[in-house]
Amino acid sequence: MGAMYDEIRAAIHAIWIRRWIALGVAWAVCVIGWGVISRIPDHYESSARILVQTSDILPDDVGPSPDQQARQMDRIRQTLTSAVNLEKVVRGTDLSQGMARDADVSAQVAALQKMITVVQQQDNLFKISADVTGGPGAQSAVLAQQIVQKMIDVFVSDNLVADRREIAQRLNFLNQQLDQRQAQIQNAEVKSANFQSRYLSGLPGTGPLPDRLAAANSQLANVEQDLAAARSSLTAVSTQLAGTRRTLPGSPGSAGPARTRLATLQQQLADARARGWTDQHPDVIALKNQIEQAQQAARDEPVYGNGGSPNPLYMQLQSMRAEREARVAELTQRRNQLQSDIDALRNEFNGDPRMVADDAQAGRDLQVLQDQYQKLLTEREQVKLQAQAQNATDAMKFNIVDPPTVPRSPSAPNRPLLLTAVLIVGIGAGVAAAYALGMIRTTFATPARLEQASGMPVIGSIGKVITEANAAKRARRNKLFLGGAGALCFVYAALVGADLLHPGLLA
Amino acid sequence: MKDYDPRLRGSSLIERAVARLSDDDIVPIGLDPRPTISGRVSDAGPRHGAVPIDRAALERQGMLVPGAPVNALAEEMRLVKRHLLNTATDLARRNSRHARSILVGSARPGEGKTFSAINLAISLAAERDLDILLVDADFAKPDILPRLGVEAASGLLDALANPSSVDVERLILPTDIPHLSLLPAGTQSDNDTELLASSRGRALIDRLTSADPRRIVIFDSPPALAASSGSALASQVGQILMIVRADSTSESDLRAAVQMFDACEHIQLLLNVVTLTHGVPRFGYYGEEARR
Repeated sequence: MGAMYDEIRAAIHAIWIRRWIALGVAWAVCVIGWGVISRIPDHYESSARILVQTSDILPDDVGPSPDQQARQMDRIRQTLTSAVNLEKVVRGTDLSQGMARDADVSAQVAALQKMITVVQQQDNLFKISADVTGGPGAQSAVLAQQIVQKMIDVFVSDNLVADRREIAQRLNFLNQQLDQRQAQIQNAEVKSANFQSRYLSGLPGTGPLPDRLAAANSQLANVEQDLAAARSSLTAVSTQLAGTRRTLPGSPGSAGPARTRLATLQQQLADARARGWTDQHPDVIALKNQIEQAQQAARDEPVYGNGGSPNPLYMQLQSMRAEREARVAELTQRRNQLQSDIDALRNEFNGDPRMVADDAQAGRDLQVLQDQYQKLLTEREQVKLQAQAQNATDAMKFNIVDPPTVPRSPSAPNRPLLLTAVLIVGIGAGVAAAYALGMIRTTFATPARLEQASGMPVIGSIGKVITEANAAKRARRNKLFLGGAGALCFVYAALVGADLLHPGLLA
Repeated sequence: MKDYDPRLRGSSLIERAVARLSDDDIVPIGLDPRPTISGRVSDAGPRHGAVPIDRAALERQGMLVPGAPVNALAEEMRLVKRHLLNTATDLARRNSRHARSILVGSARPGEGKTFSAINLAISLAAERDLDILLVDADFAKPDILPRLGVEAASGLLDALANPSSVDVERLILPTDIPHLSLLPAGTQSDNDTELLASSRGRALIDRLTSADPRRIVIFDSPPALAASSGSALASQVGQILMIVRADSTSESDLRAAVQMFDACEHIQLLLNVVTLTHGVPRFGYYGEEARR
């Protein structure tokens, strides 16, 4: 610790005895540094912030999506610094002064591109700043403000129109598309209807031809099955009928109704005679007439073979058979018709199979067209709503949060800081130079050092003798040194003060 | 760690060693211990036939003033003196011919040779049993006499140039400071180095030391790197006190100068104009404080 303390003291001493060199170097560095600083041109920066708001009166699902909005912001940023925009700015500000040729303008546009920075601070907050350098201070300041103002003007007007135009274009496009689709759908529908009425009316079912054909075939199969069933049941009934007797054998006295009646009438006549009635009795006469008629009827009445009664089962079976026969006939006719229809269609389609494919294609197309049409329709409704919302409000609102101002002082360089830095560097360089010189040319400050370095005995050290003459001289030199150092500080203070009071004075 | 003695702190090892020796230990052995009249007190009046030394000039130049209160410089010179006397005693013990001659030299002009030589002479003159002869051997720029306020006179070079007609002992100027006499440089010549290096020169230098056994000869030499006569003298003296100016003499200069003085075995260094002290008041203040 003690050794280090001694080292530090020795270093400080070495610097102190070369303080004039240190002061000289410090002066030289400071003068050169300050000269350089005064040559740095001033930068004037003007900036403005604008808030770009997209309309949010629409619900989220109808209004522009976040993605859309982000793209919109991006587009805004891009267009803001586009060459076209910048050229407008150049022509609209003092930048174009004294410019005749296009080449000059484009050169200025390139220069302007470097001056302008557009930063998207938040989602929809833009900071536009222009950094103008060169030229007299006041003029640069005004120019910076002009540029930013013009940027905002150009940008706002362009964007409003562009956005409205865009929506209108979208609506137009959608309408055209919808019209086209409608026409196409109508065509397809007519074609399909024609085809159906021409070919498919005879076939059961709905849908395109193959479906119907299949349906018809399956119906035919059904009919044929039914027919087969009907036939077999007819056969069964016929067989049963054949095995059944027409009359029942166990009832010989069975007479027909006419004979029964005749017998009844003869009974009644016998009863009347028994009472004693004569033949002239009116009732007997009437009875006799009736018997006569009944006899006639009984004569006509067939007399059953053996004279038995008819079999009721036989009668029943006979009627069943008739019924079955009718069903078979019906089914047969149905089958024949179906068969002939199918055959006719087959014949026709076998001749031209493309027609079937066409019809299927037409059906699919129609489906797709209808879907498309639905989609377009919803989209158009959305766009219409957006457009209306845009008309009702301003779709994009530009709020100028901070209007561009004319900068009163240059934004860069930070002269006080640089001046201070130069002063510090200068003093540091002076100290370093003095120290380095002490290192290069070894001298001895203390007997210990001398002994160490020379290796010879040091028998004593004589302190600096202060006489009146050299005391006065030393005081004068110290004063001079302080004066020199003080002057450096004074010049520094003056420069900083001048810069603070009158910015741009040093440029 | 250290003894708390303000005299000791901050001095070099040698200084400390010397300080620890009591004065009695270092009475020069081999030097004639004839009693002198009254030592330092004899300042009272100018000696008969002695040149007066301008005390005011001495004070103005910050040199030691005989009889003045002890100050820092006096203390520092005392240490140096003790050391030199020690070496001289050593040399005398070894029967060196040059035991009693000291050359004060330096590398470059302005490092404090003359200043140190005069101070050393005055300091040594205060010793009780020594006679000091201060020889101005800086022929190119003889400075001792003007500094002491003494008129220039003929001196060493005249004696060297005309050994037959001029007796060097008669050129020695006794001063009003007891035990201190001066030998001026004399008339300038172009071949001083050759004159010194000649056998005549050697004989003459030898004579100066041998003339009086109590005498100690101090040569104020020219800067080693500026004039060559210093190196010629180096072989004629017992020890060399090399003045190094603090913060000024460079290491290379010092080495070159030491090389020039190679002929002498005993070279000791004295650091002059030290400004970097270790925060301790210099010697003189110690006494001053005590006196208050």
